[in-house]
Amino acid sequence: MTAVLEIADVSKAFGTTQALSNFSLSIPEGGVYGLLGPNGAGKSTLLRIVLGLIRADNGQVKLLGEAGTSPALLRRTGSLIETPNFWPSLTARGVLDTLGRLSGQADRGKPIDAILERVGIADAADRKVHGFSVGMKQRLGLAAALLTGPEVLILDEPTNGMDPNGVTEMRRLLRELADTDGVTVILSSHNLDEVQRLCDRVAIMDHGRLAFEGAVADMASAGEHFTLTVSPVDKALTILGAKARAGEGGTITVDAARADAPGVIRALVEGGVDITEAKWAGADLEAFFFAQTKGATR
Amino acid sequence: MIGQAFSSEWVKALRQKRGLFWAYGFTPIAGLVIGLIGFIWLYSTNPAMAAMSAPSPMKALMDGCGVARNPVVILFLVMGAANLFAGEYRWLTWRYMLVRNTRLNLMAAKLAVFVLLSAICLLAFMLGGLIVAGVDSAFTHVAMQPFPKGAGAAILAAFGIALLDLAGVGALVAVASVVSRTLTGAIISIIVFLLVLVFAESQAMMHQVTWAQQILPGIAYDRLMAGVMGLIGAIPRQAMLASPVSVPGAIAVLVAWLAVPAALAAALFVRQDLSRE
Repeated sequence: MTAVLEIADVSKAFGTTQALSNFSLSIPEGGVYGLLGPNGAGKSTLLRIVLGLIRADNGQVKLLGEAGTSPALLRRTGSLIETPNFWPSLTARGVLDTLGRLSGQADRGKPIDAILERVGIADAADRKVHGFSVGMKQRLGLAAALLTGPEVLILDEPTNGMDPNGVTEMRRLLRELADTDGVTVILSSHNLDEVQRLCDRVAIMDHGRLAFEGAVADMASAGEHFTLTVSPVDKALTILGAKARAGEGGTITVDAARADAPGVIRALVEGGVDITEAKWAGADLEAFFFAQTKGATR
Repeated sequence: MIGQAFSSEWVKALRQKRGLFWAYGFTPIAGLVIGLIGFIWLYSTNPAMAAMSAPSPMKALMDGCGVARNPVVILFLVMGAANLFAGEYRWLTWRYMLVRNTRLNLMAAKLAVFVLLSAICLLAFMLGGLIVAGVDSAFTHVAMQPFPKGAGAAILAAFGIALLDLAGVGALVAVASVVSRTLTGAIISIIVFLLVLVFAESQAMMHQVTWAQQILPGIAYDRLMAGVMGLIGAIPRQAMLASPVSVPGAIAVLVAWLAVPAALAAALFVRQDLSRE
């Protein structure tokens, strides 16, 4: 699979704070890719390095197969970094026209109207930006990112500050861009639920390091577990080994995919363990996330 | 790509009408109003004195260029330049621009827009001076003085010198903006710096200008304006001839006051991390 973004051994320090430590990652073409991590994990720093806003201390970044951050290359991407701000005395249309001129786009009028329509702020096209809510600015930021017809969209916390309807609409739009338009969407988030709902693959970052990389489905199945009420507990733990741990009130938690449940239960019954209750708890993504981020050290 | 950067900066500046008015429009309008009020007051209190000298369009145009050294006009222009250069830090908007054009192009485009708007400001002052001279002539029935020989070249030269001087101010604001990353930081630091320069220039003009003092932009500006006055046979003030520097040398000084800060601003900006604008 072709990589749209290859990051090799990238480090960046701000004074004594190490924002990224020999960070490497390869993001495949297509779909929605999530960079997940707590605040301060280095997500924004990484995206700013990719976009040439800050310079890495060492390491290499290849975007769309090319090293460097020339405007010609970056024009093939669209980006939205953190909560967007714009020139307050310009209208939404004025902002997009100004940015369109900057990248030498001819015939700006039509695309601007279509893009504003697509992101849902066509009715505010001629309103000055200083009256915009955070959610409207996010939409305008996405409109600016779409202006050049990008192959890759790089979005830093794209749903920050949006109301629930706006969040749903933004997720739908991003999914549509990936599925229908063939745009590779790379987004950062500290919202586990958002990444689970929206992304195909995910990289979990912590303290500037890569803690996990894989398909969201893998991450979800990695957290799947059962809670069983058994007797005797010690015997059950012996039979199941490392994938089980004791809980409270005669319960054990078994880390296993749903498909493995019959085998687990059969093994316990055949081993002479009484099962009085079995409860499918689904994936505990939160526990998985915390386990991953706890493991990474600065 | 520089053309695209200039086009974008130009339309953006034109769309920010309030900032545009205060930086480049207010002082010429105020200058015109003050000129008209001054004349009307003189005419109404002492018509004979008002009619004593024929209004000179040449003087009006040269005075219009001369506002490039007026501290009040410079203050407003510095605010305009700071809005251009430091505004992107204030509004966190570099992030949209740097993915669309090069940092050098963006800096150059901003400086070019400032110079163009300053040129319009100077032209507005010159036009205002002509209007006052015309009103003077119409009220006093004294015909305006004819343009002297060599007037066209002198006006063009004075305009060019004034603009070069102002471009240097713009370049200084660019450096201050990149270093301070704030609007107020850029304005205050440049105002203080210009005050120090003016003080140094006034000290220099009180005595024979030393070799080191020749690098002051005000000294070079005066030397060049003295040369321009020579083109039309006018006699410059003694202080304007205090500098032993040649005309080419004075031009080199003003060019250096533009080129060195502009290069410094570009060099700093190209290497600047924008972790937060």
